[in-house]
Amino acid sequence: MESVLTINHLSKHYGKIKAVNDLSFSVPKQSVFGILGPNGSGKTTTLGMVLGVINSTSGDYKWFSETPKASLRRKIGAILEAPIFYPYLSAVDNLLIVAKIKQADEKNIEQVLKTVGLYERRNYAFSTYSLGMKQRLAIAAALIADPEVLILDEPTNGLDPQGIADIRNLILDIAKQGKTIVLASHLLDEVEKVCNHMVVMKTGQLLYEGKVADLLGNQNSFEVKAENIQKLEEVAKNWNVIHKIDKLNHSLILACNNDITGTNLNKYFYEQGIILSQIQPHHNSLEKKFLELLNN
Amino acid sequence: MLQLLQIEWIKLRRYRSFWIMLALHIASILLIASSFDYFITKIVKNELRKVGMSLNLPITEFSDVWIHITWLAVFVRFFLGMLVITMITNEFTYKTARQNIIDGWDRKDFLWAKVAQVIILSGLSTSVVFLTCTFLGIVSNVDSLPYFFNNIHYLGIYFVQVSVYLSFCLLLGILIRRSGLAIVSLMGYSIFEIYLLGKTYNKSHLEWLTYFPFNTPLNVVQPSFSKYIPRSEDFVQEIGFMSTVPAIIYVFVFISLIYIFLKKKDL
Ligand SMILES: Nc1ncnc2c1ncn2[C@@H]1O[C@H](COP(=O)(O)OP(=O)(O)O)[C@@H](O)[C@H]1O
Ligand SMILES: [Mg+2]
Repeated sequence: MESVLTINHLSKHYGKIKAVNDLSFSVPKQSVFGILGPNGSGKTTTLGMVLGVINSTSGDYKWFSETPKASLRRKIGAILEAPIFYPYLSAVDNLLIVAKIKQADEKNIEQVLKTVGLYERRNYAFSTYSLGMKQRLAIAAALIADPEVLILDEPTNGLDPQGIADIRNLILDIAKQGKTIVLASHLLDEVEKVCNHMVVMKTGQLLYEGKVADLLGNQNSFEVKAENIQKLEEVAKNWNVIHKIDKLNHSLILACNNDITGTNLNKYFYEQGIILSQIQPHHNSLEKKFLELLNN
Repeated sequence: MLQLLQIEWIKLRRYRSFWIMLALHIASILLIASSFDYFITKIVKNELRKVGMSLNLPITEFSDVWIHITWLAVFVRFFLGMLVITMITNEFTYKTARQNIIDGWDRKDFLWAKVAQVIILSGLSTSVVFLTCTFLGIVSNVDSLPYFFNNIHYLGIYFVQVSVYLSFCLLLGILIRRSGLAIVSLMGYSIFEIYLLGKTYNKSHLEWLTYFPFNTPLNVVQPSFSKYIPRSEDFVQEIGFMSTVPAIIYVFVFISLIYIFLKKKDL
Protein backbone atom coordinates (compact mmCIF):
# COMPACT_ATOMS: atom_id res chain seq x y z
CA MET A 1 0.00 0.00 0.00
CA GLU A 2 1.15 3.51 -0.78
CA SER A 3 2.27 5.39 2.30
CA VAL A 4 2.35 9.14 2.97
CA LEU A 5 4.86 8.98 5.80
CA THR A 6 7.63 6.49 6.39
CA ILE A 7 9.67 6.60 9.58
CA ASN A 8 13.00 4.77 9.64
CA HIS A 9 14.82 3.96 12.88
CA LEU A 10 14.06 7.40 14.24
CA SER A 11 15.48 8.30 17.66
CA LYS A 12 15.55 11.35 19.90
CA HIS A 13 17.61 11.30 23.06
CA TYR A 14 17.65 14.05 25.65
CA GLY A 15 20.77 13.12 27.57
CA LYS A 16 19.85 9.82 29.17
CA ILE A 17 16.16 10.10 28.35
CA LYS A 18 15.31 8.17 25.23
CA ALA A 19 12.19 10.07 24.27
CA VAL A 20 11.97 8.16 21.00
CA ASN A 21 14.03 5.05 20.51
CA ASP A 22 14.61 3.38 17.14
CA LEU A 23 11.07 3.90 15.91
CA SER A 24 9.95 2.66 12.50
CA PHE A 25 6.50 2.57 10.97
CA SER A 26 4.63 3.94 8.01
CA VAL A 27 1.29 5.63 7.56
CA PRO A 28 -0.82 4.23 4.69
CA LYS A 29 -2.46 6.70 2.37
CA GLN A 30 -6.07 7.58 3.24
CA SER A 31 -5.93 5.82 6.58
CA VAL A 32 -7.05 7.30 9.87
CA PHE A 33 -3.90 6.47 11.71
CA GLY A 34 -3.72 6.43 15.50
CA ILE A 35 -0.57 6.85 17.56
CA LEU A 36 -1.59 5.49 20.91
CA GLY A 37 0.51 5.64 24.04
CA PRO A 38 0.44 6.89 27.61
CA ASN A 39 1.70 10.37 28.46
CA GLY A 40 5.43 10.68 27.94
CA SER A 41 5.63 7.78 25.50
CA GLY A 42 7.14 9.96 22.78
CA LYS A 43 4.16 10.76 20.55
CA THR A 44 4.68 14.52 20.44
CA THR A 45 8.44 14.12 20.07
CA THR A 46 7.92 11.81 17.09
CA LEU A 47 5.52 14.22 15.42
CA GLY A 48 7.83 17.16 16.23
CA MET A 49 10.64 15.41 14.37
CA VAL A 50 8.61 14.60 11.27
CA LEU A 51 7.31 18.18 11.24
CA GLY A 52 10.81 19.62 11.24
CA VAL A 53 10.79 21.37 14.61
CA ILE A 54 12.73 18.80 16.64
CA ASN A 55 16.10 17.64 15.35
CA SER A 56 16.39 13.87 15.47
CA THR A 57 19.34 12.16 17.15
CA SER A 58 19.41 9.50 14.45
CA GLY A 59 17.25 7.91 11.81
CA ASP A 60 15.22 9.55 9.09
CA TYR A 61 11.76 9.87 7.62
CA LYS A 62 10.15 10.54 4.30
CA TRP A 63 7.01 12.44 3.36
CA PHE A 64 5.29 11.30 0.18
CA SER A 65 8.42 9.20 -0.52
CA GLU A 66 10.52 12.37 -0.68
CA THR A 67 13.35 13.67 1.46
CA PRO A 68 11.75 16.13 3.88
CA LYS A 69 11.81 19.84 3.06
CA ALA A 70 9.78 22.88 3.99
CA SER A 71 7.65 22.87 0.85
CA LEU A 72 6.36 19.36 1.65
CA ARG A 73 5.06 20.62 5.00
CA ARG A 74 2.79 23.03 3.15
CA LYS A 75 0.83 19.98 2.02
CA ILE A 76 0.34 18.92 5.64
CA GLY A 77 -2.00 20.46 8.15
CA ALA A 78 -0.68 19.96 11.67
CA ILE A 79 -1.29 20.88 15.27
CA LEU A 80 1.28 19.86 17.86
CA GLU A 81 0.17 19.60 21.50
CA ALA A 82 -1.93 22.76 21.73
CA PRO A 83 -3.38 25.35 19.38
CA ILE A 84 -0.70 27.94 18.67
CA PHE A 85 -1.65 31.40 17.44
CA TYR A 86 -0.79 35.06 17.94
CA PRO A 87 -3.03 35.85 20.93
CA TYR A 88 -3.59 39.50 20.05
CA LEU A 89 -4.67 38.75 16.47
CA SER A 90 -8.14 37.79 15.27
CA ALA A 91 -8.97 34.40 13.79
CA VAL A 92 -8.93 35.94 10.33
CA ASP A 93 -5.48 37.51 10.73
CA ASN A 94 -4.10 34.33 12.25
CA LEU A 95 -5.44 32.27 9.38
CA LEU A 96 -4.12 34.83 6.91
CA ILE A 97 -0.61 34.20 8.25
CA VAL A 98 -1.04 30.43 7.92
CA ALA A 99 -2.52 30.77 4.42
CA LYS A 100 0.39 32.94 3.29
CA ILE A 101 2.99 30.55 4.72
CA LYS A 102 1.25 27.61 3.07
CA GLN A 103 0.77 29.63 -0.13
CA ALA A 104 -2.89 28.72 -0.02
CA ASP A 105 -5.75 30.68 -1.51
CA GLU A 106 -6.84 33.31 0.99
CA LYS A 107 -10.45 32.78 -0.05
CA ASN A 108 -10.32 29.48 1.86
CA ILE A 109 -10.29 31.38 5.15
CA GLU A 110 -14.01 32.05 5.12
CA GLN A 111 -14.73 28.47 4.12
CA VAL A 112 -12.70 26.80 6.89
CA LEU A 113 -14.03 29.19 9.52
CA LYS A 114 -17.53 28.09 8.56
CA THR A 115 -16.53 24.42 8.60
CA VAL A 116 -15.41 24.65 12.24
CA GLY A 117 -18.22 27.00 13.24
CA LEU A 118 -16.14 30.05 14.10
CA TYR A 119 -17.29 32.38 11.36
CA GLU A 120 -19.37 34.55 13.67
CA ARG A 121 -16.42 35.14 15.98
CA ARG A 122 -13.83 35.60 13.24
CA ASN A 123 -12.90 39.16 14.17
CA TYR A 124 -12.32 38.56 17.85
CA ALA A 125 -8.80 38.20 19.23
CA PHE A 126 -7.60 34.62 19.70
CA SER A 127 -6.96 35.30 23.40
CA THR A 128 -10.69 35.76 23.97
CA TYR A 129 -11.54 32.24 22.73
CA SER A 130 -12.56 29.29 24.87
CA LEU A 131 -10.42 26.16 24.72
CA GLY A 132 -12.89 24.43 22.43
CA MET A 133 -12.85 27.39 20.05
CA LYS A 134 -9.05 27.41 20.08
CA GLN A 135 -8.98 23.72 19.15
CA ARG A 136 -11.46 24.35 16.36
CA LEU A 137 -9.43 27.28 15.05
CA ALA A 138 -6.39 25.01 15.04
CA ILE A 139 -8.29 22.51 12.91
CA ALA A 140 -9.38 25.34 10.63
CA ALA A 141 -5.73 26.36 10.23
CA ALA A 142 -4.74 22.79 9.50
CA LEU A 143 -7.42 22.58 6.81
CA ILE A 144 -6.69 25.87 5.12
CA ALA A 145 -4.47 24.59 2.33
CA ASP A 146 -6.75 21.62 1.65
CA PRO A 147 -3.92 19.34 2.82
CA GLU A 148 -3.41 15.72 1.88
CA VAL A 149 -2.47 14.85 5.43
CA LEU A 150 -3.84 16.13 8.71
CA ILE A 151 -1.84 15.65 11.92
CA LEU A 152 -3.66 16.09 15.20
CA ASP A 153 -1.89 15.72 18.53
CA GLU A 154 -4.33 15.18 21.41
CA PRO A 155 -7.00 17.29 19.72
CA THR A 156 -9.61 16.74 22.43
CA ASN A 157 -7.38 17.43 25.41
CA GLY A 158 -9.20 19.40 28.06
CA LEU A 159 -12.52 19.57 26.24
CA ASP A 160 -15.94 18.81 27.70
CA PRO A 161 -17.91 15.81 26.35
CA GLN A 162 -19.77 17.95 23.82
CA GLY A 163 -16.52 19.49 22.61
CA ILE A 164 -14.96 16.04 22.34
CA ALA A 165 -17.91 14.74 20.32
CA ASP A 166 -17.77 17.79 18.02
CA ILE A 167 -14.08 17.36 17.30
CA ARG A 168 -14.44 13.62 16.67
CA ASN A 169 -17.27 14.17 14.24
CA LEU A 170 -15.22 16.80 12.50
CA ILE A 171 -12.32 14.34 12.16
CA LEU A 172 -14.60 11.61 10.79
CA ASP A 173 -16.10 14.07 8.29
CA ILE A 174 -12.65 15.07 7.11
CA ALA A 175 -11.61 11.42 6.82
CA LYS A 176 -14.58 10.79 4.54
CA GLN A 177 -13.11 13.29 2.08
CA GLY A 178 -10.25 10.88 1.48
CA LYS A 179 -7.60 12.66 3.52
CA THR A 180 -5.02 10.83 5.56
CA ILE A 181 -5.30 11.64 9.26
CA VAL A 182 -2.68 10.98 11.91
CA LEU A 183 -4.11 11.20 15.40
CA ALA A 184 -1.89 11.00 18.49
CA SER A 185 -3.74 10.26 21.69
CA HIS A 186 -3.40 8.69 25.09
CA LEU A 187 -7.11 7.85 24.98
CA LEU A 188 -7.91 4.35 23.78
CA ASP A 189 -11.50 5.21 23.33
CA GLU A 190 -10.58 7.97 20.94
CA VAL A 191 -8.33 5.81 18.77
CA GLU A 192 -10.87 2.98 18.86
CA LYS A 193 -13.71 5.24 17.72
CA VAL A 194 -11.88 7.18 15.06
CA CYS A 195 -8.92 5.22 13.67
CA ASN A 196 -8.54 2.23 11.41
CA HIS A 197 -4.76 1.80 11.61
CA MET A 198 -2.57 2.39 14.61
CA VAL A 199 0.70 2.03 16.39
CA VAL A 200 1.03 1.63 20.13
CA MET A 201 4.02 3.31 21.76
CA LYS A 202 5.58 2.97 25.19
CA THR A 203 8.68 4.77 26.46
CA GLY A 204 9.65 5.80 22.98
CA GLN A 205 9.34 2.35 21.45
CA LEU A 206 6.89 0.65 19.16
CA LEU A 207 4.76 -2.06 20.76
CA TYR A 208 2.23 -2.77 18.06
CA GLU A 209 1.58 -1.75 14.51
CA GLY A 210 -1.44 -2.80 12.51
CA LYS A 211 -5.13 -2.45 11.92
CA VAL A 212 -7.31 -1.50 14.84
CA ALA A 213 -9.67 -4.32 13.88
CA ASP A 214 -6.87 -6.87 14.07
CA LEU A 215 -5.94 -5.87 17.57
CA LEU A 216 -9.57 -6.08 18.55
CA GLY A 217 -10.31 -9.21 16.60
CA ASN A 218 -7.58 -11.62 17.65
CA GLN A 219 -9.80 -12.95 20.38
CA ASN A 220 -12.97 -14.80 19.50
CA SER A 221 -15.54 -14.00 22.20
CA PHE A 222 -19.31 -14.04 22.42
CA GLU A 223 -21.78 -12.58 24.83
CA VAL A 224 -24.64 -15.02 25.49
CA LYS A 225 -27.87 -14.95 27.49
CA ALA A 226 -30.39 -17.64 28.52
CA GLU A 227 -33.33 -18.03 30.93
CA ASN A 228 -31.38 -20.42 33.11
CA ILE A 229 -28.00 -18.82 33.38
CA GLN A 230 -26.60 -21.32 35.93
CA LYS A 231 -27.26 -24.22 33.62
CA LEU A 232 -25.76 -22.29 30.72
CA GLU A 233 -22.61 -21.77 32.73
CA GLU A 234 -22.37 -25.42 33.72
CA VAL A 235 -22.67 -26.61 30.16
CA ALA A 236 -20.21 -24.04 28.95
CA LYS A 237 -17.66 -25.11 31.55
CA ASN A 238 -17.74 -28.63 30.29
CA TRP A 239 -17.23 -27.77 26.66
CA ASN A 240 -13.56 -27.86 25.71
CA VAL A 241 -13.70 -25.26 22.89
CA ILE A 242 -14.49 -22.63 25.53
CA HIS A 243 -11.40 -21.65 27.44
CA LYS A 244 -12.64 -18.75 29.49
CA ILE A 245 -15.94 -17.66 31.01
CA ASP A 246 -16.59 -14.17 32.36
CA LYS A 247 -19.82 -13.48 34.23
CA LEU A 248 -21.69 -10.25 33.65
CA ASN A 249 -25.00 -9.34 35.34
CA HIS A 250 -27.36 -11.28 33.13
CA SER A 251 -25.02 -12.75 30.58
CA LEU A 252 -21.79 -14.64 30.09
CA ILE A 253 -18.76 -13.79 28.00
CA LEU A 254 -17.40 -16.94 26.38
CA ALA A 255 -13.88 -16.91 24.98
CA CYS A 256 -13.85 -19.63 22.34
CA ASN A 257 -11.42 -21.26 19.97
CA ASN A 258 -10.93 -19.28 16.80
CA ASP A 259 -12.94 -21.62 14.55
CA ILE A 260 -16.11 -21.35 16.66
CA THR A 261 -18.91 -19.23 15.22
CA GLY A 262 -22.19 -18.01 16.69
CA THR A 263 -24.02 -20.73 14.78
CA ASN A 264 -21.83 -23.43 16.38
CA LEU A 265 -22.65 -22.09 19.83
CA ASN A 266 -26.35 -21.84 19.15
CA LYS A 267 -26.50 -25.38 17.83
CA TYR A 268 -24.47 -26.89 20.66
CA PHE A 269 -26.45 -25.25 23.47
CA TYR A 270 -29.72 -26.15 21.75
CA GLU A 271 -28.61 -29.77 21.69
CA GLN A 272 -27.83 -29.49 25.42
CA GLY A 273 -31.39 -28.23 26.02
CA ILE A 274 -30.59 -24.58 26.42
CA ILE A 275 -32.29 -21.90 24.36
CA LEU A 276 -30.04 -18.88 23.95
CA SER A 277 -32.09 -15.71 24.16
CA GLN A 278 -29.21 -13.62 22.91
CA ILE A 279 -25.88 -14.25 21.20
CA GLN A 280 -23.51 -11.59 19.90
CA PRO A 281 -19.80 -11.21 19.21
CA HIS A 282 -18.02 -9.61 22.13
CA HIS A 283 -15.13 -7.23 21.51
CA ASN A 284 -12.64 -7.48 24.22
CA SER A 285 -12.27 -3.79 24.97
CA LEU A 286 -9.26 -2.11 23.47
CA GLU A 287 -8.47 -0.73 26.86
CA LYS A 288 -7.82 -4.18 28.24
CA LYS A 289 -5.75 -5.07 25.19
CA PHE A 290 -3.86 -1.87 25.49
CA LEU A 291 -3.08 -2.46 29.13
CA GLU A 292 -2.00 -6.00 28.30
CA LEU A 293 0.37 -4.64 25.68
CA LEU A 294 1.78 -2.05 27.99
CA ASN A 295 2.36 -4.49 30.79
CA ASN A 296 4.34 -6.99 28.78
CA MET B 1 11.17 37.87 0.41
CA LEU B 2 8.17 40.10 -0.21
CA GLN B 3 5.98 37.23 0.94
CA LEU B 4 7.98 36.94 4.17
CA LEU B 5 7.66 40.65 4.84
CA GLN B 6 3.91 40.60 4.20
CA ILE B 7 3.57 37.90 6.82
CA GLU B 8 5.71 39.81 9.33
CA TRP B 9 3.61 42.90 8.67
CA ILE B 10 0.39 41.03 9.50
CA LYS B 11 2.02 39.89 12.74
CA LEU B 12 2.97 43.42 13.74
CA ARG B 13 0.37 45.77 12.34
CA ARG B 14 -2.11 45.23 15.18
CA TYR B 15 0.50 44.76 17.90
CA ARG B 16 0.24 47.79 20.13
CA SER B 17 3.70 47.59 21.77
CA PHE B 18 5.23 47.74 18.31
CA TRP B 19 3.60 51.09 17.58
CA ILE B 20 4.33 52.45 21.05
CA MET B 21 8.03 51.68 20.90
CA LEU B 22 8.36 52.93 17.36
CA ALA B 23 6.57 56.14 18.33
CA LEU B 24 8.82 56.59 21.37
CA HIS B 25 11.90 56.17 19.20
CA ILE B 26 10.76 58.71 16.60
CA ALA B 27 9.52 61.14 19.24
CA SER B 28 12.92 60.97 20.97
CA ILE B 29 14.71 61.82 17.75
CA LEU B 30 12.41 64.79 17.18
CA LEU B 31 12.84 65.92 20.77
CA ILE B 32 16.62 65.71 20.52
CA ALA B 33 16.66 67.60 17.27
CA SER B 34 14.38 70.36 18.49
CA SER B 35 16.13 70.96 21.80
CA PHE B 36 19.73 70.38 20.74
CA ASP B 37 20.54 73.95 19.87
CA TYR B 38 19.00 75.24 23.08
CA PHE B 39 20.90 72.89 25.40
CA ILE B 40 24.27 73.16 23.73
CA THR B 41 24.06 76.92 23.74
CA LYS B 42 23.19 76.86 27.45
CA ILE B 43 25.96 74.44 28.35
CA VAL B 44 28.76 76.08 26.46
CA LYS B 45 27.56 79.64 26.94
CA ASN B 46 30.16 80.50 29.54
CA GLU B 47 32.96 78.96 27.59
CA LEU B 48 31.92 80.90 24.57
CA ARG B 49 31.72 84.16 26.48
CA LYS B 50 35.28 83.64 27.70
CA VAL B 51 36.65 83.45 24.21
CA GLY B 52 34.39 86.25 23.11
CA MET B 53 32.38 84.27 20.57
CA SER B 54 28.87 84.70 19.31
CA LEU B 55 26.28 82.47 20.93
CA ASN B 56 24.90 81.47 17.57
CA LEU B 57 26.93 78.45 16.65
CA PRO B 58 26.16 76.79 13.30
CA ILE B 59 25.69 73.41 14.98
CA THR B 60 22.35 72.72 13.34
CA GLU B 61 23.27 74.02 9.91
CA PHE B 62 24.49 71.99 7.01
CA SER B 63 26.74 70.16 7.08
CA ASP B 64 27.37 69.85 10.81
CA VAL B 65 23.74 68.96 11.48
CA TRP B 66 24.44 65.44 10.17
CA ILE B 67 27.31 64.95 12.59
CA HIS B 68 25.49 66.19 15.64
CA ILE B 69 22.06 64.66 15.24
CA THR B 70 23.28 61.21 14.22
CA TRP B 71 25.60 61.19 17.20
CA LEU B 72 22.71 61.87 19.58
CA ALA B 73 20.14 59.70 17.83
CA VAL B 74 22.33 56.65 18.44
CA PHE B 75 21.46 56.92 22.12
CA VAL B 76 17.74 56.42 21.55
CA ARG B 77 18.06 53.28 19.43
CA PHE B 78 17.31 51.55 22.72
CA PHE B 79 13.57 51.76 21.97
CA LEU B 80 14.09 49.95 18.68
CA GLY B 81 16.18 47.37 20.53
CA MET B 82 13.32 46.67 22.92
CA LEU B 83 11.00 46.41 19.95
CA VAL B 84 13.21 43.84 18.23
CA ILE B 85 13.64 41.82 21.42
CA THR B 86 9.90 41.81 22.10
CA MET B 87 9.15 40.88 18.51
CA ILE B 88 11.52 37.91 18.49
CA THR B 89 10.90 36.60 22.03
CA ASN B 90 7.14 36.70 21.40
CA GLU B 91 7.69 34.11 18.70
CA PHE B 92 9.14 31.80 21.33
CA THR B 93 6.81 32.53 24.24
CA TYR B 94 3.77 32.11 22.01
CA LYS B 95 5.55 29.15 20.31
CA THR B 96 4.59 30.68 16.97
CA ALA B 97 8.13 30.24 15.64
CA ARG B 98 7.49 26.52 15.96
CA GLN B 99 4.11 26.79 14.26
CA ASN B 100 5.53 28.89 11.38
CA ILE B 101 7.99 26.04 10.66
CA ILE B 102 5.29 23.37 10.99
CA ASP B 103 3.10 25.33 8.60
CA GLY B 104 5.78 25.31 5.94
CA TRP B 105 8.54 27.83 6.55
CA ASP B 106 12.13 26.76 6.40
CA ARG B 107 14.19 27.90 9.39
CA LYS B 108 16.02 30.12 6.90
CA ASP B 109 12.73 31.81 6.01
CA PHE B 110 12.25 32.64 9.66
CA LEU B 111 15.79 34.02 9.86
CA TRP B 112 15.45 36.19 6.76
CA ALA B 113 12.07 37.51 7.85
CA LYS B 114 13.62 38.74 11.08
CA VAL B 115 16.84 40.05 9.55
CA ALA B 116 14.83 41.94 6.96
CA GLN B 117 12.88 43.60 9.74
CA VAL B 118 16.09 44.69 11.44
CA ILE B 119 17.31 46.23 8.20
CA ILE B 120 13.97 47.91 7.53
CA LEU B 121 13.76 49.34 11.04
CA SER B 122 17.30 50.68 10.72
CA GLY B 123 16.38 52.19 7.38
CA LEU B 124 13.23 53.71 8.81
CA SER B 125 15.12 55.25 11.69
CA THR B 126 17.75 56.58 9.29
CA SER B 127 15.02 58.13 7.14
CA VAL B 128 13.54 59.84 10.18
CA VAL B 129 16.95 61.23 11.06
CA PHE B 130 17.45 62.30 7.45
CA LEU B 131 14.15 64.18 7.29
CA THR B 132 14.68 65.72 10.70
CA CYS B 133 18.17 66.94 9.81
CA THR B 134 17.03 68.26 6.45
CA PHE B 135 14.24 70.23 8.09
CA LEU B 136 16.47 71.44 10.91
CA GLY B 137 19.25 72.46 8.54
CA ILE B 138 16.94 74.44 6.31
CA VAL B 139 15.18 76.14 9.20
CA SER B 140 18.48 77.01 10.88
CA ASN B 141 20.05 78.55 7.85
CA VAL B 142 18.82 78.30 4.30
CA ASP B 143 22.11 79.63 3.08
CA SER B 144 23.87 76.51 4.30
CA LEU B 145 22.00 74.40 1.74
CA PRO B 146 24.93 74.25 -0.67
CA TYR B 147 26.74 72.17 1.98
CA PHE B 148 23.86 69.68 2.14
CA PHE B 149 25.92 66.78 0.81
CA ASN B 150 28.98 67.42 2.90
CA ASN B 151 29.18 64.84 5.66
CA ILE B 152 25.95 63.21 4.58
CA HIS B 153 27.80 59.90 4.91
CA TYR B 154 27.17 60.21 8.63
CA LEU B 155 23.69 58.89 7.84
CA GLY B 156 25.34 55.74 6.49
CA ILE B 157 27.38 55.36 9.64
CA TYR B 158 24.23 55.84 11.68
CA PHE B 159 22.45 53.16 9.65
CA VAL B 160 25.24 50.65 10.26
CA GLN B 161 25.34 51.45 13.93
CA VAL B 162 21.60 50.90 14.40
CA SER B 163 21.78 47.70 12.32
CA VAL B 164 24.58 46.19 14.37
CA TYR B 165 22.73 47.04 17.56
CA LEU B 166 19.45 45.54 16.37
CA SER B 167 21.15 42.38 15.05
CA PHE B 168 22.68 41.98 18.49
CA CYS B 169 19.17 42.33 19.99
CA LEU B 170 17.92 39.65 17.61
CA LEU B 171 20.72 37.33 18.69
CA LEU B 172 19.99 37.99 22.37
CA GLY B 173 16.30 37.30 21.85
CA ILE B 174 16.99 34.01 20.08
CA LEU B 175 19.52 32.91 22.70
CA ILE B 176 17.53 33.90 25.77
CA ARG B 177 13.99 33.53 24.43
CA ARG B 178 12.50 35.49 27.34
CA SER B 179 11.91 39.17 26.80
CA GLY B 180 12.55 40.42 30.36
CA LEU B 181 15.86 38.65 30.69
CA ALA B 182 16.94 39.63 27.19
CA ILE B 183 16.19 43.32 27.79
CA VAL B 184 18.06 43.27 31.10
CA SER B 185 21.05 41.62 29.37
CA LEU B 186 20.97 44.25 26.66
CA MET B 187 21.00 47.03 29.25
CA GLY B 188 23.80 45.31 31.15
CA TYR B 189 25.93 45.05 28.05
CA SER B 190 25.19 48.62 26.98
CA ILE B 191 26.24 49.89 30.41
CA PHE B 192 29.44 47.88 30.13
CA GLU B 193 30.32 49.58 26.85
CA ILE B 194 29.35 52.99 28.14
CA TYR B 195 31.58 52.35 31.14
CA LEU B 196 34.49 51.53 28.85
CA LEU B 197 33.71 54.64 26.87
CA GLY B 198 33.74 56.78 30.01
CA LYS B 199 36.96 55.25 31.21
CA THR B 200 38.87 56.00 28.09
CA TYR B 201 37.26 59.29 27.27
CA ASN B 202 39.73 62.13 26.93
CA LYS B 203 42.52 59.70 26.41
CA SER B 204 44.12 59.37 23.06
CA HIS B 205 43.77 55.63 22.56
CA LEU B 206 40.06 55.55 21.85
CA GLU B 207 40.57 53.56 18.75
CA TRP B 208 40.40 50.07 20.21
CA LEU B 209 36.97 50.89 21.59
CA THR B 210 35.60 51.08 18.08
CA TYR B 211 36.16 47.34 17.83
CA PHE B 212 33.32 46.71 20.25
CA PRO B 213 30.07 46.04 18.44
CA PHE B 214 28.04 48.97 19.72
CA ASN B 215 30.77 51.53 19.28
CA THR B 216 31.62 52.73 15.88
CA PRO B 217 33.69 55.91 15.83
CA LEU B 218 30.38 57.76 15.63
CA ASN B 219 29.81 57.63 19.34
CA VAL B 220 33.36 57.05 20.42
CA VAL B 221 34.58 60.23 18.88
CA GLN B 222 32.45 62.94 20.37
CA PRO B 223 31.67 65.87 18.13
CA SER B 224 34.11 68.59 18.93
CA PHE B 225 32.86 72.14 19.26
CA SER B 226 36.29 73.55 19.45
CA LYS B 227 36.39 73.70 15.70
CA TYR B 228 34.10 76.69 15.93
CA ILE B 229 36.78 78.55 17.84
CA PRO B 230 39.05 80.47 15.52
CA ARG B 231 42.68 79.51 15.60
CA SER B 232 41.88 76.49 17.75
CA GLU B 233 44.69 74.02 17.81
CA ASP B 234 42.44 71.08 18.61
CA PHE B 235 42.70 68.30 16.17
CA VAL B 236 39.30 67.74 14.59
CA GLN B 237 38.76 64.10 13.83
CA GLU B 238 36.76 63.36 10.75
CA ILE B 239 35.01 60.02 10.57
CA GLY B 240 34.88 58.23 7.27
CA PHE B 241 32.44 55.52 6.27
CA MET B 242 35.28 52.99 6.21
CA SER B 243 35.39 53.21 9.99
CA THR B 244 32.19 51.16 10.10
CA VAL B 245 33.86 48.08 8.64
CA PRO B 246 34.24 46.33 12.03
CA ALA B 247 30.54 46.97 12.75
CA ILE B 248 29.52 45.54 9.39
CA ILE B 249 31.57 42.45 10.14
CA TYR B 250 29.75 42.18 13.46
CA VAL B 251 26.40 42.24 11.66
CA PHE B 252 27.48 39.25 9.58
CA VAL B 253 28.85 37.43 12.61
CA PHE B 254 25.62 37.97 14.54
CA ILE B 255 23.43 36.80 11.67
CA SER B 256 25.59 33.70 11.21
CA LEU B 257 25.35 32.92 14.93
CA ILE B 258 21.57 33.36 14.81
CA TYR B 259 21.44 30.99 11.87
CA ILE B 260 23.53 28.36 13.66
CA PHE B 261 21.38 28.56 16.79
CA LEU B 262 18.14 28.45 14.85
CA LYS B 263 19.35 25.41 12.95
CA LYS B 264 20.68 23.47 15.95
CA LYS B 265 18.00 24.16 18.51
CA ASP B 266 14.67 22.40 18.77
CA LEU B 267 11.84 24.85 18.47
N1 LIG C 1 12.89 19.16 25.63
C1 LIG C 1 12.92 18.03 26.36
N2 LIG C 1 13.94 17.81 27.22
C2 LIG C 1 14.00 16.67 27.95
N3 LIG C 1 13.09 15.69 27.89
C3 LIG C 1 12.05 15.85 27.07
C4 LIG C 1 11.91 17.02 26.26
N4 LIG C 1 10.79 16.90 25.53
C5 LIG C 1 10.23 15.72 25.87
N5 LIG C 1 10.99 15.09 26.80
C6 LIG C 1 10.73 13.77 27.38
O1 LIG C 1 10.54 12.86 26.34
C7 LIG C 1 9.53 11.92 26.66
C8 LIG C 1 8.47 11.90 25.60
O2 LIG C 1 7.70 13.09 25.63
P1 LIG C 1 6.50 13.37 24.63
O3 LIG C 1 6.97 13.13 23.25
O4 LIG C 1 5.99 14.73 24.92
O5 LIG C 1 5.43 12.29 25.03
P2 LIG C 1 3.88 12.21 24.67
O6 LIG C 1 3.59 13.22 23.63
O7 LIG C 1 3.69 10.82 24.22
O8 LIG C 1 3.14 12.48 25.94
C9 LIG C 1 9.03 12.31 28.04
O9 LIG C 1 9.68 11.50 28.99
C10 LIG C 1 9.45 13.73 28.18
O10 LIG C 1 9.67 14.05 29.52
MG1 LIG D 1 2.13 14.75 23.74
